[in-house]
Amino acid sequence: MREEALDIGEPDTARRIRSPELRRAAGGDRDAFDRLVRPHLGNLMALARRLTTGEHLAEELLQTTLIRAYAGLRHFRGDAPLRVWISSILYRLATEPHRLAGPGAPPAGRTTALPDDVPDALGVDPSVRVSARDMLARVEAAMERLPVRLRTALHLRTVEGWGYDGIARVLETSVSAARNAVMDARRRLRERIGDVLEP
Amino acid sequence: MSDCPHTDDVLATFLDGAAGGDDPALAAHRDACAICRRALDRTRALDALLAAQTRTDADDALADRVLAFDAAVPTGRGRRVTIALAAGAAAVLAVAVWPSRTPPPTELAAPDAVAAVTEPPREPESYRAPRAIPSPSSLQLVADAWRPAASRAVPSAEVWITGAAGGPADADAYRDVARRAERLVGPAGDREPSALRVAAARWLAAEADGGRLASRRLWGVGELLVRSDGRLRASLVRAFREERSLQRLLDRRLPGRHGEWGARDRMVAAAIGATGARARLDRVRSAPVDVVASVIASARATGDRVASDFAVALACDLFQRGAVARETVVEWLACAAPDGAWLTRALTDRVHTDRREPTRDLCRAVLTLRQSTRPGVL
Repeated sequence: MREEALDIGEPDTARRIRSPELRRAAGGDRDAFDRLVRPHLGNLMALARRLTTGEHLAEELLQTTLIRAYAGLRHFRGDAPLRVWISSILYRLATEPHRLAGPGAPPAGRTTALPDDVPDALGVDPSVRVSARDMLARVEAAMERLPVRLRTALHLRTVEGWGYDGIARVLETSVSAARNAVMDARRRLRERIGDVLEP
Repeated sequence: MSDCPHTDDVLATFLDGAAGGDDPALAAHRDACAICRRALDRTRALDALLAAQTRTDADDALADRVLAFDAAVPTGRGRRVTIALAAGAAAVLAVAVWPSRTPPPTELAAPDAVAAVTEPPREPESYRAPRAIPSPSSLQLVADAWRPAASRAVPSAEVWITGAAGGPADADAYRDVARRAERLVGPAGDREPSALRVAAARWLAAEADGGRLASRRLWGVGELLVRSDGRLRASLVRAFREERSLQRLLDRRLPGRHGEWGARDRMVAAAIGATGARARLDRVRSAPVDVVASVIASARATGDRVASDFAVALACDLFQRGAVARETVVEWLACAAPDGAWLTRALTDRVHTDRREPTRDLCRAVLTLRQSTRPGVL
């Protein structure tokens, strides 16, 4: 019930496939492509930021994703919403750096979790009363320590409000595995920064 | 924390709306179990925090930037046309470098027929080396080192043919071919990125990979890379990063610090810089300082994220090893570039991520200098 409410809520597959805009974009119409993806750029950029270390890397990742999406749009089968399909491209590019910049390229960003021995920006002393700003920094630092798969799953669930089927498509896994990934991410974050999460 | 075995069920049910929400037993457990209640509260707070703090907006400027890629990405029928035209362009270029003892063909040969021609690699007698880079002694010197002069900013059809051949071509002998090539790859002085030029370069390289094309043509493609600029350069850089055959050029053996660096060695080093091939950084880090200067300048001429990161990494590496003076590195990285946004960001990243204070301090100094020379760059 809640699952449906959280889902992405895009038009059904058949309507999308018949969409003249999509057909034009798949046929090489750049303007049509831009119109299709522009509403999703904010959310895609948020995911790119989550998977990289800086704004410029996120932009680079997003642009490369869009280039790949445009080039491969004719292969888009329409069995998932366009945003899910593009997000899955973005996730693959971020987790497989050689796809982004050729063999031997350095990782695009935070595609691996930070080691636990790297101190948090603000320390983890629960006796320290943290401000709202500090709390956000703590949450952000804890997110960086999550494996990229868990980080992506949690982001898509909590920020984007996706259903687990969409998350599963992006992670290329089953719905139950996607659900477990979100649960695991939440558990790890609670354990790390639970002290600042008391309402 | 999760000492209660029902916590996951409670969270899945009351947070994610899994089946069982109307299970009175689970609801009763949630109300009675402090551990589950706390986990539920904390997770709700966490979700709210993440949702609230994450920016999901994209202003028009951002949208314009990320959508500003080459519209000529091949799709569907257009791709087939591009491939066909590329094959035609390649055929023209291959004809242009037909051995001089072979009578000039009256008709353009089909790509397959051209590919079947096997000629032993022949070193060009006078390789037109990129302009040599003297020792970096001033900002202006480094800034101008690889900035393409107007005469070589974009190769004309004849220059392109010459580059593809890897050696000087007799323009008179190939005038007709040059005219045909010009129709295919665009007129001389055309500053638009010609997808055909890039496609032709890829085709030539692919042929070289199969051993059917003289390797000297690969040198020509490399030369084209380090001499080009603008969007053509960006296209070629992308081709070099993606094509294994083109990467053969970047893997050529290079002299060490005390070796004799010829024009070709310098060109290969500059091509490594142009592509920002981080995995090949070791191959140029021990080069003489003037070669390193040209590599960094070449990376800066490309100016994208990968190349800028490469330039900063190489400069910082030399500085950390004491191979160059701090002032020299500052000069290399600080001088104004037409488009240095990625370089600025690479430096900023280094300030935040490098664990060595001297390097962070160096990058701060460069950023400060860049800001003072180009207000608003930061």
